[in-house]
Parts: sequence; C-alpha cells; structure tokens
Amino acid sequence: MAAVQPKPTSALKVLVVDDQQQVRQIIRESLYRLGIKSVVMAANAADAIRAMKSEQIDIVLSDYNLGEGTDGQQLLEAARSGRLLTPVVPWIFITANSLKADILAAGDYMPDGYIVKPFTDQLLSRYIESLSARKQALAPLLMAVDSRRWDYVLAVAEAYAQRSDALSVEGHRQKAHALMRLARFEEAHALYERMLGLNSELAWAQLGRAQALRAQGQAAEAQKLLKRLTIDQPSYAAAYDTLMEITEDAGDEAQTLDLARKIADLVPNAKRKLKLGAVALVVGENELAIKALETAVAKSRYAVTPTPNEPLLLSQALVNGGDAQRALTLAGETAKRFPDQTSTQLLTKALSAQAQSQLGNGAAAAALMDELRSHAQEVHLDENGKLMLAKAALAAGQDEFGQQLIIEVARNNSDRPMMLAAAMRAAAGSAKEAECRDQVAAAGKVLEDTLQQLQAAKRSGDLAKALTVGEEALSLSPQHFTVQIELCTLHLIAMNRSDEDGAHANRARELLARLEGINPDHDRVAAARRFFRERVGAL
Amino acid sequence: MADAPQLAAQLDAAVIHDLKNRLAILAGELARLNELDLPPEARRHALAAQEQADAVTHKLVAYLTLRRAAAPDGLRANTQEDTPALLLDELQAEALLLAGGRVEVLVDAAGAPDFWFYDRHLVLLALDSALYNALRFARSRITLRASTTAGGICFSIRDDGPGVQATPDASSTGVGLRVCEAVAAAHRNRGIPGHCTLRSERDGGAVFELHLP
Repeated sequence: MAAVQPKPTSALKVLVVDDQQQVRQIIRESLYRLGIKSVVMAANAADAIRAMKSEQIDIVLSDYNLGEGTDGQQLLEAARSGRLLTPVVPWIFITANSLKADILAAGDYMPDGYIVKPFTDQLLSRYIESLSARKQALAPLLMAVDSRRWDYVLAVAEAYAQRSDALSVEGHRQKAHALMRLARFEEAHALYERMLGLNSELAWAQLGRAQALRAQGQAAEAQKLLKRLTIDQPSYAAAYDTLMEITEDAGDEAQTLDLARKIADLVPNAKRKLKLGAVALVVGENELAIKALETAVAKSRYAVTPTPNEPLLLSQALVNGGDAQRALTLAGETAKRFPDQTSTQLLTKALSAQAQSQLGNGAAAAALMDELRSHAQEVHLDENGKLMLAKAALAAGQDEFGQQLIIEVARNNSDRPMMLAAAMRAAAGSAKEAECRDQVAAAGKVLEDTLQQLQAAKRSGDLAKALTVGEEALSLSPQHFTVQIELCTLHLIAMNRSDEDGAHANRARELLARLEGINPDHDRVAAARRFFRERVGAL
Repeated sequence: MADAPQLAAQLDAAVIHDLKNRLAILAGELARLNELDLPPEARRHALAAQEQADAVTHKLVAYLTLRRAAAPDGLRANTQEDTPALLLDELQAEALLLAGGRVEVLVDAAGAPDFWFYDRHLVLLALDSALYNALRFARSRITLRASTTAGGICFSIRDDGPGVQATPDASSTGVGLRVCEAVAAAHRNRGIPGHCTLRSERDGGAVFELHLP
C-alpha cells in the first residue's frame, strides 16, 4: 500500500460555511493563527456548493445550523452524494449544541468530526490535524470503496484489518461490507460476530449481522435483532431502512408506513420525505403523502442533481386529493424543468390528463392521452409511472389501456404485495374498479401457479422442464423479480452441468444484466453474480 | 400546530442556539483581546472574563447533557473505535489552557489500549467535567491517565488537592459528577454498564475514574 504524504496544515484550503458573518470571521482568524491562509468563505449552502465545484477544497468546516433553507447535514449529503468532494476530504461540523451527535448519527452521511462552539485555536488545530491524518491514512481504502470494485475493496480492507491500531476496525468494517457485496454472507456474518465480540454495542456490526442473516434466508431473526437495535440506538436510521425492506417484502403496509414515518422524522431530508410520500401513496394515505411530498419538493430545491420524482408524486397525490388545479400547475412546471427526460414528459402529460378529467375537461384529457399513447411503448417507466399512466387512461375513458397497464403491473409484481395493492387502488373510483380487482387477483394466481410448477420441476430434478416453465413465466411477466432471478439461477445451474455452445451462460448473463438494472443490491443478485464470475469470469 | 411542550422545546432550542453562538463570539473577542499588549491589570480582567465565558459554556453543556439523560430516550452512547492516547492529548491541551500555568498537567497513556470503543464526544464531556473539578482543588499537579482494566478501559484524573472528604462543597452543585454518571451509564458492553468513582487517595489528593466496559 503506497504511503500518502499528507499536505502540511498550512497548505490546506479550508471551506468555512456559517450563516453568521461574525462567526465566519472568528473561524477565519483562528485558521490564520494556525498558519492556514487559504480560506474560502460561504454564507449558505448555495455558496458552499459553488465553492466546492470551483475550488480544490481540502477540509470543510461547516456550521450545522445555516439559518433558512438547507441545513449543514443536507449540505453534507449534497456534497457527498453529488461527489463534489473526494471521500478523503474531512467534513467537520461546528455546532452550538453539544449533543448534536445524536442528530448527526442519524444522517445518511456522517461527518468526520464536530467541534462544539466556542472552541480554542488549539482544539481546532488538533481536529484539523488528526482528522486529516486519519483520512489520509485511510485514503487507499476510501478510494477503493468509492470505486465499488468489491474484490479490490476486500484486498485493501484486509491489509487494514491486519493492523493493530484503530484503523484496523475500519478495515474489518469495510472487509465485512465487501464480503456482503460479493455474496459471501457466511464469512461476513462471522466477521460481524467477531466485531461484536469486541464490543456488543457497535451499531454498524449489529446492522451488518442482521443483514447477513437476512441474506441467508433468516428474515425473522434479522427482524428481531433490528427491532432491538432500534430500541438501543433510536437514532440509527440505517437499522430502520433494513427493517422497512423486510416489512415491504412481507407486504405489511402499516409497519412499512410507520417505519417510513420514523425515518423521515429522524433524517428529514428530501430522500426520506420522498420515500415516506411514496409509501403513503402506495398504501392510500393521501393526506400524509401530500404533506411529505411537499416537504420533499421544498428540500430537493437545493439538490445538486435534481430529479422529477418529488414533483411527479406530489402531483399524483394532489390529483388523488382533489386539488386538480394545483396538480396541473405542478405537472406543467415539472415538464418545463426536465425538458429532455422523455419519461418525465410522458408522466406530466398523464398527470395533466388526470387533472383535466377531474376538472371536467374531458376533451383536453383525451387529447393528452392520444398524444402520450403514441410514445408510451418507447419509454421505459417504473411501476409507479405505469400506475400513473393507468389512472390517466381510466380517468379519460380509455379503459382498455388502463386495465392493460394495471394487469402488467400486477403480473410483474405478484411477489410484492404492496405493489399489488397499489395496482388495485389505481382503478379505485373508476367504472372498471371491480373488473380490475378481479384481474389483478387472477394475474397473481396465474403467476403463483406457474412458480409452483417451476418449484415442482426443480424438486423433481427436471431441469429442462423447470427452464421451460421459467421461460414461459418470463414471457408472461418480463419484469418480475422472482421469475428473473429463478430463471437466471436455473441457467447458471444448466451452464454448470453442460453448456457446450454457451447458450445457458449467455442467457444467464443477459438475465443478470437485467437484474443488475432492477435491484443490484439484492442478496440473490449478488449470489448469482458471484456464481457467474466464479464459473465464467467477468460479466 | 405544535403543542405547548413542543413549543417550549423549540423555544429552548432557539434560545440555547443563540446563547451558544453569542458565547462563541464573546470567547472569540476575549481571545483577541488577550492577544493585545494589555496593561497587567487589564490582562487580569480579560483573562478572568475569558474564564467566566468558558465556565458558563461548560455549565450550559452539563445542563443540556443532564436534561437529555432525563428524557425518555435517555442518553445513548454512539460507540465507535477511538484512540485513548489522543483523547488524553486533547484533554491535556484544554487543561493546560484552563490552568493558565498554575498547575502542571501530566499524561500517562502507557497502559492504555491502542484503541477502544466508546462515544468520544460523551467521554470528553465527562472528563471535561471532572477536569474542571480537579482544577479547582489541585495544588500543583493533575495527572490524566488511561489504562486497560479487566473489563475494559479506565480513564482517570488525579489531583494533589485536599481530597474528597476535605473538599469544600459550598459552591458545587454536583452537576459535574452527575454528568459523569450519566455518561458512564450510557456506555454498555454485553450488558455491563460503565461506572465512575470519585475518592481520596491515601497519599493525598482526589482521583476520579471513569470505567468503560
């Protein structure tokens, strides 16, 4: 591992972010006294982002409370998620509240340290020096993690894990994480247990152990451990995230909504508010959806890379809530804001069509539907998008098209009970409600039967039949996760037995690529990827 | 619309934030003042003012910690790996500053583990409180120590003052020790909580110990 020569403190370029001019001045003078002359000042998040984009910043000293608008935590998240800084740049919060740690621990991105005001020059100097030194010492590992090449991360992390100092713990942590990404769940589990043997309260190791158990098919045990973790560490947001994935898989709407609400309270950023809004929409809690999505829209105003998801879902919630005029305005604004995104253009038209129908403008709604139908096949939409389109079609009297979309969603999501429920709700209030409900239930039943046939063929060892049933199921439900992963696994098995012309390997590669696009972090996808790499090599 | 306790909490948070910002400005101004070439009497007053600003900040932090410990969720340790020797260095730097040359501050980290798991911020808060106490009574020396124990790590602060029994308690509210107890209790490992003690040494002085599992 090449040693990284740290910059001398006096050569560092420091970004100071504070809404109070007097405080900025005090910090700058402290830095000057420490020999740091290169200081960039920012009074708010927008100035800070501009500075990060234009300057090569070595350290960020940011107030947590930045007055109106974006707070320090949001700024940190924007900087890290937008990759405005390298992972080696330390981020230090300067807070007025000595107990800010409780809040900071809850964020999606953690600061590297924080200093409580007022502070001495010596303390500031020690923080800057010790945090810079730690980050420089960890630089190869941080850069490896940033590359997401998990075999490489594993090798680098192993070297750190062998050390006997505090950095070895970070080595173990990243090693366990890499093992999870490489689908070596048992080894990851053993490593997390080993870390918990050192200290039973390490939240990241408790979470990792639960995730490893879940990946090994022990979801109930994982859920039990995670519930205990959320009691012991009530501000550890990542534990709630995994719990929510488990309740979502199980189709437990009430628990999922409750967890989404808790996380959004704990980490009130745009991402968490969007998730709460999306869950509330799916389970039919429209008022809550509007409230959460309004906050998400307001918070994402400062996003480094804005997405249309927040306004699109808010627009849908507004239509559901009967506020068609506002929905129409928002859809129009969103279309203008994202002119080059074809899916956004399509969905804003669908939402406008829903709103126009509600306002009694049937002709306008029909015209919009005609316009978007000609492009609908060319655009890839996620399941929520398809349901938006289905609602628009049903509202504009294009029942067949609406039903077709709802059935498509149902067929592709028979393993996701909450999405099935959302598909049924999409037809609520329309003339076709009862019919759609029956068709959704029937689609689920057909898939369930097919998957049972597939399992029976697998149990009897009839691989050829299992492959045929799997391919049939895929033609029926081309985006169904379970069908895709089952079929991919079958082709991997077939490939392992005999694959002279490479047909199974090619089909497995193709399915794996699709799965990587849908759910790259899923444990079964990771396991399939590992199997393929071990047998064939690179994807 | 927020209810009354919520509004009170929001008001508290806003006032505390403002107070601490103003204290930061006050401490900054006093630091600048102390850099000037002041006449001896002015220097004495400026240093006394700086000490008072630090003491007010310290009290406010202790109060907030205890308030949090008394809340339903209690005080929770965010346990991470840390280097005890570096933590003592940081504490020593602060002690030297506060002592203003009146006492010497020694560090003994020879028996400390290379790293241990605890909430660095909370541990500093507790040791800071104990340090304030030690500074009040030390005659000439304070020793900061970290050592490995059978069940974990022990941070200690020893002074060469009159000892615990003889400590005049008229100006003490006991807040410092309560902060330390809250911080110790916030740390657990395999069901065992941390604890702290304050006692007199046989050969004189008082020693505070923070044991973390």
